[in-house]
Amino acid sequence: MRQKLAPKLEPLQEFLLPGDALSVTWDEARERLYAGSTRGEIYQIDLTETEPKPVPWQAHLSYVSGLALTAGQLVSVGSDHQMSWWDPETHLRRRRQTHPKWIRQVAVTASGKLCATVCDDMSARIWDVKSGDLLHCLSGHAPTTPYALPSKLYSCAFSPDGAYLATADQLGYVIIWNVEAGKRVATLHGPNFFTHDTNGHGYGGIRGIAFSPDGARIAAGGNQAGDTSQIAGSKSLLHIYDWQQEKRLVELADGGNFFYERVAYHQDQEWLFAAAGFGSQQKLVFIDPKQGKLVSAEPSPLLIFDVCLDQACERIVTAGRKEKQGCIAIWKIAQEERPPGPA
Amino acid sequence: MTRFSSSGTCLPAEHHHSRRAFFGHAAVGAGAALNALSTSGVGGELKRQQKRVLMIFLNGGASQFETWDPKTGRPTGGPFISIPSSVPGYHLCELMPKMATRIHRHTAVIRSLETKNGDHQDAVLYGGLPKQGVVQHPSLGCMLASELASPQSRLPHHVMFSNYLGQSYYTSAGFLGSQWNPVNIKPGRIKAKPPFTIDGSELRLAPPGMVLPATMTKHDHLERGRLRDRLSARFRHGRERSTTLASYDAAYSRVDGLMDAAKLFRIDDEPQAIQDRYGPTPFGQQALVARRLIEAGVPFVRVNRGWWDFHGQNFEFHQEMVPELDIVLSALLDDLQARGLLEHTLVMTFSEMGRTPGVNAMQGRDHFPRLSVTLSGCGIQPGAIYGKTDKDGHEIIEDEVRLQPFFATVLKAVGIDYQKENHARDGRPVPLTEYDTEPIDELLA
Repeated sequence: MRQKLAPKLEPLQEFLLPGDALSVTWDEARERLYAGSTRGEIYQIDLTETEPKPVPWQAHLSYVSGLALTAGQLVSVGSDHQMSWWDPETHLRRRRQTHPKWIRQVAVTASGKLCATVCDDMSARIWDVKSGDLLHCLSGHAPTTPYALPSKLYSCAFSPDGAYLATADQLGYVIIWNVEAGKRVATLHGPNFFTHDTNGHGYGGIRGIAFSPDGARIAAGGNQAGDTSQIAGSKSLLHIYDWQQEKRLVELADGGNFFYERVAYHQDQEWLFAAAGFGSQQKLVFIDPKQGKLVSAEPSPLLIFDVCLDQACERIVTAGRKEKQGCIAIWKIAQEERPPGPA
Repeated sequence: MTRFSSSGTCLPAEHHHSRRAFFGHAAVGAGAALNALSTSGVGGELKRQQKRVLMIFLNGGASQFETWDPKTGRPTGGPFISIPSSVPGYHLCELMPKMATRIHRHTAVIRSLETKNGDHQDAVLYGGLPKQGVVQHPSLGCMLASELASPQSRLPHHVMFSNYLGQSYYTSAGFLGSQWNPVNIKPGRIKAKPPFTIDGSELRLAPPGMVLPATMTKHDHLERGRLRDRLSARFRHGRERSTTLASYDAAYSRVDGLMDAAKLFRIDDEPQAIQDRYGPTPFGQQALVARRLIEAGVPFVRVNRGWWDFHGQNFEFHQEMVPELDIVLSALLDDLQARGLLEHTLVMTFSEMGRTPGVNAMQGRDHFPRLSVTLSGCGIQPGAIYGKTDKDGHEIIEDEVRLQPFFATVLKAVGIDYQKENHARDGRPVPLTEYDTEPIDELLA
């Protein structure tokens, strides 16, 4: 029988931190990693050192929920409503209260000129990285769940050309915005991403989104309608959309007890990586985005809350939790031969 | 001259009618009595005399860290930041901005309640005393109902609103007799219709059977009642000391009273502005009905809101539920104050336990026997912040409070002798709180 190659992760390095590691970004040119933790600290890891060690500095009052590198600056966002700009030597350049609630994520354009933040005030904001000026405040996501409780805006991603911003919420809606005009151009809805129980607890949501490298598709990963409060029956869900047609192309639902926190595309769209952050059966998953099928799924030794791919798609960095500690792990993306058929 | 509040209800200073007059109306129909309360001013006398207690019970164990005792910036603190309150030096979680501005007006916070209970049990509602065995102790709610109830009232003495999962801890009056047991209003079920609407048709804010069946006229109903009264009187002869019989009679009376009180359970009669303040959630609507019941003279009402047992995704769920608590509790206090009722009504928040300082792998908090509770209104020292936990919230480092002194404080706040003795069925004297228990005077006005 003919064999085919499937991606597989092999651990290279691992760094343990106090608290959970929630966010990570990678300065590839300088071989430095930055990781944000639940303790309000950002850790810098210089991979050029013989024995690299995470070096922390206090950056936020509480969770460092998002990190991004752009134009020589590190941008961090936190649950303390703050957004901070840091220079490569970790000096604070600018700090602002940019939202009134928990800022969930920050994304930057490939050009490095713009960044976007999403917050539980249900607004997305687009910023000029250099000046720190607010360019657009985008409102369109429903502020409440069907039970009239506050909703959440979890994730954002720019299209590869920087012309569009996608934002995703707890109710399973993705809105695509024209960045220059600050206008909504498309809306996607995955109803299976959300439900609530008879007490009004909302379950689910899209936790991570990514544009495909050609900009034509959007992948959304998160939680199928399941009870995540008890971690019993929580299930993962992944959708791929042709966003311009506002059409869902792929739905992958996994019955395991975990859900996806982040998704990331291979540069040639050979695969889509999805990382599971919660649950007792967390996995590292590769998906064939064209066929909409699982390529490989392996148990993960850690809970993963954020991922970062290198440009060549040869290594991946994960931020998460392992044995009551934060964990930054670097993985090599290898290929292994597998028989054809279902993973 | 009659003055009116912005919501159109009369203010207490002009109330002249007697309580007897009010209950005269109540005997005809508590719904009519409510109208009298809001239009002719009989509430004033009632408000001057009768104390009531409204308990908001947070079933499942709400987190003290995400409410009244935040630890921002500490390893146990979670994502939320603390905000200053209207009491200098006291901060609470950012998810409670409305209560933050109101703490100094009506509310005392206890950050040091040690329940010795780390599980989902109703033991805290009995003050840690046995509810079964030789002496079946009453719950706090039943105790308060029995002490505060007016003998003339045909309204229920004790009403509880269950939460949706039904894990609301139905409590019993033990040796006090079942007439003090709660009327339990189960809310039914709610289903969402995607994307953004709720089918609320099954939301129940009133007990079932409030309306006569179509096959029975009101006249028939009254005649049947009279027949029952005659038969009961005959049967009671020679059994005057039977508490069981008294409980049956009281139960029938309460059913009649409830049917008369149907209007109390209808929030549509409230101005839209008042409904809006409580919010659209079932919890908010239950709290609004609770206020109507309190206003009409029901001495004890418990509104259960659950389920707070977040072993996973603790912060996501508290981000949903604490703002709702903030809205409902602040609306309730404002509303009671505007009606002149807060002076005579004690509002408490309570829970069977708190949550652990440590955050587990699922971003959850587990069971913990220490928690924060609040007391607002009648007899309470506004702005009192009592007790303290260590910097990470593991240990109580100042003024630990146990359940019995907490109960004694509640009882004293509403003018009840907390050492008063009742008699169990075997005749032994049983005080409301254990002998030598003392209330926390720093919390009392």
